[in-house]
Amino acid sequence: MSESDSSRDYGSPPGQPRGVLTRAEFAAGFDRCWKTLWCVAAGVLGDRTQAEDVVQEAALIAMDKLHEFDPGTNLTAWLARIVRNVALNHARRRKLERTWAAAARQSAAANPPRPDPARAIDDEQVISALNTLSETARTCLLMRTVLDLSYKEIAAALEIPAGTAMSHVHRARAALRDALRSQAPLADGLGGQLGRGNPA
Amino acid sequence: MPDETRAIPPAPEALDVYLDGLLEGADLEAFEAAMAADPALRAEVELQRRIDAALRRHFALPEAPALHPPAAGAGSRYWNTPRLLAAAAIILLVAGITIFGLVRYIAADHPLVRVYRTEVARGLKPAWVCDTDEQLGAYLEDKYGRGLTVRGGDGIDIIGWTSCTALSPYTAVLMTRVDGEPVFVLVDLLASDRDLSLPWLSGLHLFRRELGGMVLYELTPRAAPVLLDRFAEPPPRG
Repeated sequence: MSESDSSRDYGSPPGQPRGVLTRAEFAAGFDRCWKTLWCVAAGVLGDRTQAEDVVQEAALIAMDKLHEFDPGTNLTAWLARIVRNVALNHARRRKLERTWAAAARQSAAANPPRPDPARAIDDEQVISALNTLSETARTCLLMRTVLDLSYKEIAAALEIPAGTAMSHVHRARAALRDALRSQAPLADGLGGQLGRGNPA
Repeated sequence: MPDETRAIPPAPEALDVYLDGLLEGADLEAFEAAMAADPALRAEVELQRRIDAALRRHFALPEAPALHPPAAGAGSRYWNTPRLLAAAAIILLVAGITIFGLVRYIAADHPLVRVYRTEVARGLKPAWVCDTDEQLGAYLEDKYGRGLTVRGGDGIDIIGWTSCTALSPYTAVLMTRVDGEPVFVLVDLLASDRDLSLPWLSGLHLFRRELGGMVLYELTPRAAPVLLDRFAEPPPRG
């Protein structure tokens, strides 16, 4: 994704009156930024399973509220706000469902899945560590790592300063490394060397 | 992204700058040299790369979602299928109750229904009571110049007579209870007969019989007549 995708101004040309985006214009804008939106959803949820549904739901809400969008502003940021709100609602519902399913989860926790020995780090442990981060830190990290967005692009989409986005990413990386350092297998020769930042 | 490029700061910040791919030229070479000399730094970079790989694996992007904008003028997303169904059900229910009430109200104004409900509301108080077949015959002969008899039976409680103007100014109404339910029989001359029918949703049924120059209508909440066949012409006087 290029930087212009996430920060494009969808306003009318100078001298022409501003209007509401047509559905076709909205669809074109959505096509350009859906990856960012998906990352926002996955970041807020800390999981990918419902991210696509959240983005779809947010897109439908956005289409209903097109009259509220100022074409002179950043469509990606506007959509990202909607995605974030929808994702937070999903997360709340999921939390409620988890409360009811607590017994089943505890039962499953008694027999945790074994890490895949073919991989140096188990994905589940990474996701588990990821979910200890704040939703903004998660979102910034995923946008940087999965989409390879620049800090400027992340900042534009999330409407935060670029320095804050960078700080979120750097702290998130360090937190994940701290959490997973002890999980790295000794067999690959890294185990004895991963003591950095760990005073113990 | 040259605007984000900067000189190598001391570790650990340098690690993130390196991981961000923002180190270039001499800075990059210096960091790589430091990495080669420091196994712990090398391991830290390797760990982060594995974490990043795990994140990319787990958060692999799905296929581009197909956006299906609703047709212009379509309802708000608030009106999704369950809400639409619920709203439709409520509208149908309210409309149904309104129509039902209206029809019942109109039906209640029908002469036959009005007679039935008025007499029931008054507690079935007859204007004339016949205790014997002779009294009944005399009552009808006095009104119509001809008599009828009626047999009782199990569950049938013959209460007495009143009158109405359903067929003529002289229509007689026999009030009974059948298994506790009020059942009426309207009696008049066949010559006075006219097309009688009940309105929809009156909650009553109407059955007709002709007998000896008379016409009888059984007005009942029951689905079948009980009393009509119990009427007979009186035996010839001997």
